[in-house]
Amino acid sequence: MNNNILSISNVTVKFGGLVALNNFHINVRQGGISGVIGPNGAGKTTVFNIITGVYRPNSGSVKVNDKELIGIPTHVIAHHKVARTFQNIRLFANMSVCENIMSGACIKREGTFLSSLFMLPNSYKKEKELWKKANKLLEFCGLEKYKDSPAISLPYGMQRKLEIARSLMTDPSLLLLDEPAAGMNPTEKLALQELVKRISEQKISVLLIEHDMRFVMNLCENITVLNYGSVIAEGPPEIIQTNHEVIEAYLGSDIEDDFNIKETLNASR
Amino acid sequence: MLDFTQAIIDGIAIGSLYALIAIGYSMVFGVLQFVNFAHGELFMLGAYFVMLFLTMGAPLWVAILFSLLSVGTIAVVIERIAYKPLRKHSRLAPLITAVAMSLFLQNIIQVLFSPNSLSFPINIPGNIVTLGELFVRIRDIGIFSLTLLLAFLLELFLFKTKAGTGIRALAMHADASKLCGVPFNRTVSLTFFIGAVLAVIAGTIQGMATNQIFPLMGVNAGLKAFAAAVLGGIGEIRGAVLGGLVLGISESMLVSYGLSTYKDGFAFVILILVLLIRPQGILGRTQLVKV
Amino acid sequence: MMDFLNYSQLPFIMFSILAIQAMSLQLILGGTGLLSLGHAAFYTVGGYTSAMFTVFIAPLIGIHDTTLLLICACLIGMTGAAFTGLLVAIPCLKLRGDYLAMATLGVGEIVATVFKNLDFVGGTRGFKDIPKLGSPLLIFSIMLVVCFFIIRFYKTNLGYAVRATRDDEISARSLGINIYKTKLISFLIGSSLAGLAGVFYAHTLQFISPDEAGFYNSVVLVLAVVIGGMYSVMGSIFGAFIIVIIPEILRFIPQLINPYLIFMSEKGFLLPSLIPVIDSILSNRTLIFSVLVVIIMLLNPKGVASLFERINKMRKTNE
Repeated sequence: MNNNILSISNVTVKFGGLVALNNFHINVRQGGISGVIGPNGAGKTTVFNIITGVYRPNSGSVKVNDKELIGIPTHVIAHHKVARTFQNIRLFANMSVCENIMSGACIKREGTFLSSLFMLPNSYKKEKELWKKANKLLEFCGLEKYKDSPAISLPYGMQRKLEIARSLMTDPSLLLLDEPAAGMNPTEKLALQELVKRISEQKISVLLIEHDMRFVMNLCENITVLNYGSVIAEGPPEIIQTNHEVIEAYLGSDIEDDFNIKETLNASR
Repeated sequence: MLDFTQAIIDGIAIGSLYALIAIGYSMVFGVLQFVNFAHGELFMLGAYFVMLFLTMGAPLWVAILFSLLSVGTIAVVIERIAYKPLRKHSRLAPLITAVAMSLFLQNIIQVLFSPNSLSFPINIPGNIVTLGELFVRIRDIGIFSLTLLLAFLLELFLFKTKAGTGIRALAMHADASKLCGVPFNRTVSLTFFIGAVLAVIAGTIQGMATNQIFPLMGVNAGLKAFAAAVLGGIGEIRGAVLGGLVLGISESMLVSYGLSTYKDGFAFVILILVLLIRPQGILGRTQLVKV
Repeated sequence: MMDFLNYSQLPFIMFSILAIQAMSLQLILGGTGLLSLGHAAFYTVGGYTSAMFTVFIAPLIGIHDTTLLLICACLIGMTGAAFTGLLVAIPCLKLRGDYLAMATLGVGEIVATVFKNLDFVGGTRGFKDIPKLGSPLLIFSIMLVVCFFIIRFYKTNLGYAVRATRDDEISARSLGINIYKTKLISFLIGSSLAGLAGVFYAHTLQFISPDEAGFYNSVVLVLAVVIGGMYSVMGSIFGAFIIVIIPEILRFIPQLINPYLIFMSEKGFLLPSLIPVIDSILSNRTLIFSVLVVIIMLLNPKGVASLFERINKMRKTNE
């Protein structure tokens, strides 16, 4: 037995003639934070879509907790304790913040329809517990004061946090974050970084896709670099940072600037 | 086999009328993603306006021209008053006002003219020629060729003129075309106007062929033409023409098998069957949803 | 007083029935986000199937007790409507957005055509001589029960699943919600409740016509849901109230305005020959109603519920 919660091996995805992922592989340790980086169109989001069953790969295997997930429909995959957020935030726009989080508890309440319709004691008790948990999550993500406001009225950064809170409500053991820091200012990014750390402290493994190098380097213990659907490098941040192939050939000079900033930051500490 | 061919020939004329009306539905849907349920009423209005101008003593071509202009203007005004202010709010609000406008037009004609049917002053005789064992009405051939000609001219307009390109651009991506300088409101109005023109022509033909017009004539024709537009692939001119013809011919087949009382529902049976096999219609294009 | 009660009985019943229908559509349209333009079809099916039972089958098997008859009629009407709903939903729920609306629009027309061709239930002339069952108060209380049911429904797991599906199918799926099943259940509940409304309609008016399934009736239901605010159950009741009450008020308009018209023509502002034309326009209730609908929608495109929200917000910002 290994202690990998997620292991993907030999996954190839083709859309018509385009190879979106070529022989992709990744392993995520139980309780760890891993990252996938790469330029736009490298196939990062496709990785998430493969794990959550949105696309079916042409070949390969995706295992969560040693269970094969390929061929299982998306809504069943949530039952295997996999939760995700989306690159373009997908909240339930016409529901309040609370209700958004409670929607995450749908699987937990399955089969209680009639008893909760008539407010029978056992489901009443269960619902009360779930509300307690939802309130805890609100606090955890710093959303208490928005509790009853409609989800779309939240500021951008808060919407991202709400999406994370909603996916945490399903009690995942693997959380997939698709560009969680996109469009955030530096302060918000720092807060998010803390949040992700605290999530992983709760024995929830995190796999994230991100463009912000500082964010990835600070958080992830393991990074996989994708380009044109292929893995070109993998390893801990220090190795990726010094991998010249990654820097020069694939990530371009911008990233080097990013690295320089980081080095200056480190130096100034 | 003979019955079958005869049914096709009989269905072509009504199919052409469906096609002409369906083009209006299709173009408006293409541009605004909105079903103009008052469109069938423009068909009825067209016939009434032509009749009105004819009884005032105008020659036929003047009557048709004036009717085109006035019904086209009515269509544009309806769009400005009842749909445009609601465009941003929800998809349902303009749909409801469209149906309300359609009720309004039906009832105003009932009040101003008569709730009963009126006879149309001019009619095209239904001379029949025999081709072997088949019977063909000469006027049906005329209606069919006119429809094809109009559809061809419309395609020419859409692809060869600046205004037509604007309509196509708007249909593909409203925001991007606005940024490229396509005048949004003017183009939408133009689309409604063109749809109205074709509906008026269909209404006039209907009046001249059946020799009677009535305030509710647009209801059934409108709904079926809508079915035709969806059937062919809504948003596509050729789809609308094809859908109209398919519908007209299949209805006339139903009649030739003695099931004419099922005619009204049949259009929708075909519609649902086609949607189940090809959700985007016969000639429609699919749109991908990105995760 | 008695006069008023007698006069208002029918509008009261129609209001309760329309409210049940509107709420049943609210569940599908506002709750689940499925645009159904053929909802009147389920209501018609409910009315017809229950009437077939009370007219043809009940005397055969010897049910004469009116309470039992009504209960059976309700069950059969709801089952019939739900069954039709299932037939429609299984294929059509795979269609997206507008195409679902187009297919359901067709369903209404198909149902109307089918009943027009069934001669044993009266064909195009409609189904006559249905026994009278149910009282205004009963129908009103059923309406309250339905309202309570739907409000509670939204608080259950299915209610959350339904609303999540409405707002974003992709993230609903990622949270473990089977969206097809969710839509199917909501469609079934909605159509069976519409069938219930149909049962009361048929057994109160003692008549039902195939035209009830037509497009306009379905749009009136959509209107009832939208006027009140799509996402609110109470809004649908309010919408039904407006739709029933406006035509009743419009009855008095011509008499009210006629003296002014005559006055104006005497003063020379108005040609006397125009008076009958204006009179006939004003006495065409559908005409005035359609204009009012356009005005209401223009003034308040998101429904009355949003109006209350706006007022609340204004109050909050003032505080």
